[in-house]
Amino acid sequence: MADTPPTPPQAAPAAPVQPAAPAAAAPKVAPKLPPPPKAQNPFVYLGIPQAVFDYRPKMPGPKMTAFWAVTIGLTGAYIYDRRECERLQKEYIDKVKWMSEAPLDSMEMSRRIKVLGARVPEDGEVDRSSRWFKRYMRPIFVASGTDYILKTGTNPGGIGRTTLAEIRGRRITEASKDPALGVSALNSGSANIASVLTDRDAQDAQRDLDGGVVLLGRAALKEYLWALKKGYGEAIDLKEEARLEGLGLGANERRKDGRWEREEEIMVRELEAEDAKSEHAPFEVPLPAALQGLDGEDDAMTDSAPSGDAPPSNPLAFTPYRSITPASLPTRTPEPVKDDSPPVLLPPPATLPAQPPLLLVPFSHPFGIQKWPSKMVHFFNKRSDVRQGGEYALSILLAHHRAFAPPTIRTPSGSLQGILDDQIVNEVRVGEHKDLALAEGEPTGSPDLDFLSETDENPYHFRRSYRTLPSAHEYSKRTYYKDDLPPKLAVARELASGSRQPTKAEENYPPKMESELRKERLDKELRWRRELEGWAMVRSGSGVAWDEKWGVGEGSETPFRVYTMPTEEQRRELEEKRDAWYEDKKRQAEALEERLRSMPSPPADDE
Amino acid sequence: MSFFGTGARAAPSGQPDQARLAEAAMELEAVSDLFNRIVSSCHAKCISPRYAEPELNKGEGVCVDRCVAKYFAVNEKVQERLQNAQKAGQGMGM
Repeated sequence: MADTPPTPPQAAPAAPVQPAAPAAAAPKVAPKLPPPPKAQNPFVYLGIPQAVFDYRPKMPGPKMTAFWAVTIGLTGAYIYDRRECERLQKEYIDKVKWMSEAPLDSMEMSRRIKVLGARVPEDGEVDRSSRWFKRYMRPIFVASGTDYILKTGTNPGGIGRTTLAEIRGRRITEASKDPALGVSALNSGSANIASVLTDRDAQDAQRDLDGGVVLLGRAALKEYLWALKKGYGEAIDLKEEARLEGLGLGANERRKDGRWEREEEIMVRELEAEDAKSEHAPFEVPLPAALQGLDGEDDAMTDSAPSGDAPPSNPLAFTPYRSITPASLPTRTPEPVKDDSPPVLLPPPATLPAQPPLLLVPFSHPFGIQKWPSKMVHFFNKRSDVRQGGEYALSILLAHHRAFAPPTIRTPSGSLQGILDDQIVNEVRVGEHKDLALAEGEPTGSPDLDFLSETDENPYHFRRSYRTLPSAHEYSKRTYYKDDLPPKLAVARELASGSRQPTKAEENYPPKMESELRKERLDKELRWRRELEGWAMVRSGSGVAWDEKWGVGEGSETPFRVYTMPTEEQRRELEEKRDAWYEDKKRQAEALEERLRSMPSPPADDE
Repeated sequence: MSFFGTGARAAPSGQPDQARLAEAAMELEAVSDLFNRIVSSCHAKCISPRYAEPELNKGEGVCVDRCVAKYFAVNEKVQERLQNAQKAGQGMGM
């Protein structure tokens, strides 16, 4: 005890003494102490340089960090999204693949779905809606063994017009079989074929009913309903149709090429009727007799007796329902304008025939710079499209449908709110209402008729140039008729009548002849009217076509049905069916193997 | 497409012409050749050689429908083009 205290004090004074001496000398010179030995990794002795063990990775600078963060983030999001898309689509396909393995009798036809896509107005791409369908819905249809027809409108209103032509053709074909109407087809080859194909028509109609109609977007719904209302709401003049019969009318589906000429012919007659009424007709002088029929126009231009009328080459009496003469297109016989017999009208049916159920797919393609951020986000989110396409395809495959909800809201004046006015469509088509523009749509009270109205009934959804289309058309029409056409027409007439010789420039580049100018006018008018009609039909604020006969008010019956999204229960049922199918197949395969094994093997000798 | 019987031709009256007979024979040959080609081509494309069951299933049925429709469509188009080319050739030659 006495030893320990003395030692620390001994050490303590000893320690301070030593540093005190060098501390006194510190300001003068620092002692060169050997550097403490660095901790060495024993692996250095294997030959690995120490620098490898001393490496300490640094955090990159802020700019580099930002660069890597953005690049890796975007690439990761893209890769994740596309892989999810694949996985999701494969999942939907696996859900329905078993359906395609069901046997199909050789006389049976598989279910066929009709897909209608409207043209997105003012879009450079004509088939945006059909591309969406092909990418996101078609794989599931193909996997399940379901057939589909895809129709896209090439211009606004195109699907509507196609459907209208189909409906009219169907009505006329049915009328021709109905003896009560007193319309009898001549006993010609085409009539006999038509009677043989009646069975096929009935089969086709049933197949259409089972198949269902897929409408891609609100524009398709509008055009479809417009076509139904016009097709089944208007009376058809059978005599007029018979006059156009040679152009491929009654069998619209079977002779697709005939429809264009029919449309042109109708337009020609319409234009002539209008020219007769207006004083500013561009081509006042009727064609001389020799030139008539060259460009396929009717020569009955004005109400006054046409002197240059070629006598009808067909000496037979006029029949209301002529047979189809396939190769007679260039030799169109001009019919006399005044037809005294009363027109044979096909009245509209009292009720709409059975309609296939509809599937309303929320497809839309908005324009506008304000949409760009959401479009950029959507680029990394394509899996939502896959999911939507898969869900809607599944809903039409499971085929559970509910009644279509009729419109309920009425305006104070008593008419239904938000319903398309056909009169306005016809007027806009001809060129009136040039100040009409897109407007906000009004709700009709039916969730089905108001389908996708939150986006598509807003004028800013469409391109700016589309919002005031009639005024743009009016301008181009005016300039064409005032500035473009008359000088060209004058030149053509001068050269044709020989009142002056062509100049050097005209010899090198011969100007258009009068018949070509008429054709050009016809084409232009066709195009303008088509676009205006489509605009009037599809624009926001136009309303949806709806016939009051189809049902109005809460709870009333409508002739339409809508496919519903599959519920949890239905999905489970589908899975059970699928499992049962695969179980069945496995059991069959095993049974077959058993049978083969138990059979006595054939003798191995060969003779 | 001119399957005989559906074209707009008058029925042969009186004794059958040699020319008409030859024409009909050629057409029959052409039609059966077309049929055989379609069958072999669409069978090769649509039906897998693993014959698990004797009946066609839905997927194969749809595939065959479409194959035949496309075959005919292509046939028609090519015939049309050929006719136009022949006409043009004749026009230029004459």
